[in-house]
Amino acid sequence: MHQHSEFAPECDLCGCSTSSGSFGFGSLKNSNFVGVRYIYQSFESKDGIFENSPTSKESFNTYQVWGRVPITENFYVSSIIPYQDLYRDFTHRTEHINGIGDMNVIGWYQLTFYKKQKAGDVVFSTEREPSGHRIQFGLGVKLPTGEFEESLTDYVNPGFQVGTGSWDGIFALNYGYSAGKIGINTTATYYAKTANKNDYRFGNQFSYASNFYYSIPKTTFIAMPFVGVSGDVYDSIEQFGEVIPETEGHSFSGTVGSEVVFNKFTVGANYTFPIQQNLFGDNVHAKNKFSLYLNLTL
Amino acid sequence: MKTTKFACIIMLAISILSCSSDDVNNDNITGTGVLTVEFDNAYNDSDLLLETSVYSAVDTEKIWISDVKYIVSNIRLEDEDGEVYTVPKNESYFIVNESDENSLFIDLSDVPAGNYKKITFGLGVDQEKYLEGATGQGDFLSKAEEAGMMWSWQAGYKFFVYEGLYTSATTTTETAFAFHMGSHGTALDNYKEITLDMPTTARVRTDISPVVHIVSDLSQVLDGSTQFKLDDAPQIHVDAVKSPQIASNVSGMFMVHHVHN
Repeated sequence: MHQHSEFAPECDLCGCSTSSGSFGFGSLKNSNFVGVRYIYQSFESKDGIFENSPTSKESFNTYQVWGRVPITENFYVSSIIPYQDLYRDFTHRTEHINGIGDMNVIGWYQLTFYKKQKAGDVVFSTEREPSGHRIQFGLGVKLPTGEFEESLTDYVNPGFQVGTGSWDGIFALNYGYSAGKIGINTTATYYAKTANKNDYRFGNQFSYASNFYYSIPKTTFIAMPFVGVSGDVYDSIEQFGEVIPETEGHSFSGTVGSEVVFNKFTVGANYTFPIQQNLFGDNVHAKNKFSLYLNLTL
Repeated sequence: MKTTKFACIIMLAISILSCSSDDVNNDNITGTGVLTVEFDNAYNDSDLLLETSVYSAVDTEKIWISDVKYIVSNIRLEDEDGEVYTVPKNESYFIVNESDENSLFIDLSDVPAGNYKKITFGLGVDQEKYLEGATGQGDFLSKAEEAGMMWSWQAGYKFFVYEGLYTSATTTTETAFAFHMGSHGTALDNYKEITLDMPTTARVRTDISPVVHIVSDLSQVLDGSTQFKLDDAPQIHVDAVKSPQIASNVSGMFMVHHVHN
């Protein structure tokens, strides 16, 4: 017989966001690396359209192989290949889906700024001295390598998917500055999303993350604690070219964490907590997130 | 070398962004499909719960609802070009009963494939049908009798049944209330048609069966365009003045919340 069709609108919370700019594409210092990362995210969503509808709890576990490899001195490529393991707990049952998620590939061009030479300075070296400012421009794609199941959009929240099924364009801008022991790393990313084969189009997304870090050098390692903010802004979901109401939203979070660098390894951990959000008519609440990563510097 | 790579990436991005979906409205739409109309009873912003929740009505009145039933009929669907599909009349009478989960879903089969934007339905039984006489009602007559949706053949169908208990500042012991609304034979016609816009299009195809999810806010019955205090009249059955007022309150309680495709 009929399945009672409940409607909990949700954004592209897992398909893209676990490999999104609000989590960063690399380490603080933006070095070249290969590594693995684990991301845990949890949400509470309304399972239904009413005030007294029950809530469901979603736990998203994402395991990633990620890296950034140089092609030339100023040009490099980064990529993230995720595996998604997602749980959704209802009052009397649990849904579980897993599989390869949507990978992304981004080409980056780096502009390094150098200190100006004052008139009258005698130049001894042909090497210019970097000013500490770096800007990187990224252009990439998110591939539909994760499976999108249309049936899931009807009866549970549409964000509960291992992939979005769409090819999306990624436009990214990264700004880094370091001077002595302190540094800042800021990434802004825009995802231009396309409709998948089910004519389901997740809303375009703007993500940002900015972290301020402080280096504490020790004899065998360097600790780099950091604090930062991050966020996502989503446009409405469209299906068959029509806007689905209450599918837009935004979230703004704070982050604390640290990286520890020893030899060629970087270990990082961070904890992200929501500060302000309004996701999908307030039917979805992002809870705490954390991530752990281990990178080998190339 | 560097510029070539950069150019390649730009070209790749442009080619991906430009391959958006084709205009879906240009599909050659043929055949028929199934459209389901779901009636989801609510009280204000809450899902309606029978016999477990106490709801606030007018002034100090609190109600506890045990029965919600209504007759839905003569369903018509209007597509984006204004073309109307009318469900065959003798297959277009339904009883929605909150106590019977299956009755909340009305499956319309053989709906021509199309992009529907509006739904119209009647609340109750129209005079034309009633005047066909008892035999003209087909098996709907026995269904209505079984569901308690008839006074008698002469008095006619109950279009809407709303029952429960209430208390108020002055009525402190739980007291029964019952609103039964319908046409009074042929003397008073309380049948009303309701047209609702859909927030997104219902795309009926041979392989797409949309669900039009209608929320019926029962708080409108006592607190609609006319306010009813149960202390004034806890039982309203056949009433030449109040029945039409209940009919207009009931016809104002529906909205299409969303459409699944």
